[in-house]
Amino acid sequence: MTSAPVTIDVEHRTGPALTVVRVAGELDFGSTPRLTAALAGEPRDGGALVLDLTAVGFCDSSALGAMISLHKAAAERGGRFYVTGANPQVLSAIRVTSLDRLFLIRPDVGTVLAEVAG
Amino acid sequence: MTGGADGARRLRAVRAAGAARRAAEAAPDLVAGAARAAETLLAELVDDAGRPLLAGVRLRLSPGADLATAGHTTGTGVLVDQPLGDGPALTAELHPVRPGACADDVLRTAAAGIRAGLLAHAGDAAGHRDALRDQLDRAEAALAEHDAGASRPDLLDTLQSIGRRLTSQLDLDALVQDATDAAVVATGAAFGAFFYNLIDDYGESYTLYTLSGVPRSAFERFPMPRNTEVFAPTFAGAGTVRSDDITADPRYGHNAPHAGMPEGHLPVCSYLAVPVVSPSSGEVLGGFFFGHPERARFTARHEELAEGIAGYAAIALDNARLYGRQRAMATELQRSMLPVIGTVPGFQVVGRYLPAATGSEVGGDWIDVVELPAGRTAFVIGDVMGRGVPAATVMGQVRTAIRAYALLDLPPGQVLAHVSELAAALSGHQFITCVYAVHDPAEATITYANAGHLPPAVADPDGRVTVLDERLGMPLRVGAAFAEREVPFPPGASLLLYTDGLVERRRRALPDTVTDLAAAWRDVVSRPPEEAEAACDALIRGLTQGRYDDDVALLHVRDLAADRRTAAMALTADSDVAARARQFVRDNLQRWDAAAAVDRALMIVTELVANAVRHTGAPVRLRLHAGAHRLVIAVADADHRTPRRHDPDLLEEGHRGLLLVDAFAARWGSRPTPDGKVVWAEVPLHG
Repeated sequence: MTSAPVTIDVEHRTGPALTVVRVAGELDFGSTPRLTAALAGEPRDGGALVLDLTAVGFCDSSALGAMISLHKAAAERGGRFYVTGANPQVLSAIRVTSLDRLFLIRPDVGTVLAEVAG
Repeated sequence: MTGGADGARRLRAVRAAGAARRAAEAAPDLVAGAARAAETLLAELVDDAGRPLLAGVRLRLSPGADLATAGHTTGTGVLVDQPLGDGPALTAELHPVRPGACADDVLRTAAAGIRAGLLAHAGDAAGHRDALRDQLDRAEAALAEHDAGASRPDLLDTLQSIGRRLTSQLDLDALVQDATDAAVVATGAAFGAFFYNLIDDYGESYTLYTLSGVPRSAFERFPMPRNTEVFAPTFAGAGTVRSDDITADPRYGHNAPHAGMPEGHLPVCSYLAVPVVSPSSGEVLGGFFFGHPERARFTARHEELAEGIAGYAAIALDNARLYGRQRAMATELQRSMLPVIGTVPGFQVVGRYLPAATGSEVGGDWIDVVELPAGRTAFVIGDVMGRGVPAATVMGQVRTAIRAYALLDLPPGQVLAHVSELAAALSGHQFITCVYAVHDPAEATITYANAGHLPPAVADPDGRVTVLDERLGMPLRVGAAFAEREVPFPPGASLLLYTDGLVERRRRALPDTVTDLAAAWRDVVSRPPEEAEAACDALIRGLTQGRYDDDVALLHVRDLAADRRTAAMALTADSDVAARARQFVRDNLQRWDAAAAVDRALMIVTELVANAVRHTGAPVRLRLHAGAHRLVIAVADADHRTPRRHDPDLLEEGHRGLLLVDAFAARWGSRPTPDGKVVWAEVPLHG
């Protein structure tokens, strides 16, 4: 049909250690498993984990569940979990489920880079 | 026990004879006397109810000479020959209203009165005249005496039969007239009136009156009697006033402007007035007033009779007033329990409830329209057999129970099954019949169940009427399971629900009258919707001819479908079904000009489809339905389990689906279906 396939791009940075995951497409119970599978073991190098949703048009409760997994994985390795570039629909889903208390919400990846470097 | 009736009959005959005699005596000559005597006898000789006993009177001097004729004297009358002094014999030809209406002794007495009167004009017969007059006077006095004292059972008989008659009546108008007539006859008054107080709907007291022995026109120029010194004891309930000559009473004539009877008032000399006092409250309900132009006409016995009748009239009035109050209460009770049929978006709804035109108590019919979740609407009609407060209270309870089960969004058969069980526990044994029909705009269907009620009718958009006359289910209280049936109900279709008052006719079998109704309704649905109200009224008038023995209730519904849009897609259990569902929502909402609802709708449809796929594995169908103000998203699946919202811990990864639905929908819920369930959510279309 018309839904674009989900693409996932993982970038590992060093000094300080930082994993940036860029996702494009729509995340729902059909597509989220691919995200989960692609990010198994992340953040490989510890440090902060940034999930950039700039190119995500929609995300449902299963995507929120995947984000909680990423948050827990980052925390286990002593890092923090950031969500960047979320559109209003995604942001309101995060807010009504109170997950903004758990995730660090930032406007874009650049803001996180500056924050981590600072 | 005929002594009383015979005595009263003889007394009336003697009185009529006396009146005829006096009329003849007062006339200037024999011919005029004969004419007046004949007319007087015709008018005065009456039965218990005041109806004439004679159709005609013809007086002749034998041989051959006609003296006077009054009334109808065709055919053969009863001939009574009387010698008129030493001259020719008087032949009175008396024609009873029907053969045997007058006993012989009555006719002889009547003829004797005429003869006595005419003897006044037969100069050479003074001796005969005086003897006859004495005889008649003695007969009159003896009969009066006999009635007054010698025979108490007569008095009791008279009172008892009047009392029985009065106290068995609840119709106030008939009752007061009957009481007045009976009292005037019993007291021998020339005329009588009964003034009685009523309380109107606003609690104000007002006074009405009935007359007997005189046409209403004789009094209609006069105001209501005021609380003058003469009337005061009666209106105050202080006791009976009896006077041989009221104009000589010290209480008479003190009040301006008339200082006595107003001009043109029928002459009253003998006066008798009896208050009517409520036995239950002690309140003065009214008073009887009797008059006679001659003095000393009312005896102690008349007073006793009048008081006895007043006592019965008080009981009867009390009953009628209490009954009226109870009926008003029952009507109010029922009216307060009837729903206000409001407007239902997208529908024309015409509801009518008309209490029975005959009979006097409210019935247990009801109609109802219940807006269900997800844009669905329930239309209900029912009938609790029986009347009055018991039927009305059962109706109120059953109607409320149906509303409650309706709002749980149960299927029609289950609604009726629950209500049937509940109704069985209510007091009373009335049958309760009911049709519960649910319109589903997304499916364009009506699904209904019928508990022993008359069959609903539907009309397709082209006006073709179908009576849904499958076998009726058992009535509520009796039935335990109620079959459901689904019929197509596309936009423009109409539904008719009604109660038996509309179709039950004497001399007409029910199937025929239902056919009549279907034909009449065809006319209603063929008209534009703005004429439907008037057309439904005309239908009721036409079928009942304004005479309905039972309550009539009717619910006419047309799907106007002005703002309604629907869309459906089949769902499959694959991984991109939610993506396809979202695209389906986007496409339709764009077409429906409902962009404001898109974000919420996408979230909701994704979660509902996700639940159907992941938790049941058997999603069936996605339906969208937009009315004027809201969008309904409904996902059907083949699993009966009811979805439940969880409140997960913050770190818990799952269970947020319905939390999101709850957050983004105005309301959501689920309802069971024969195959599984439907989970639905409503989203406001604007803002």
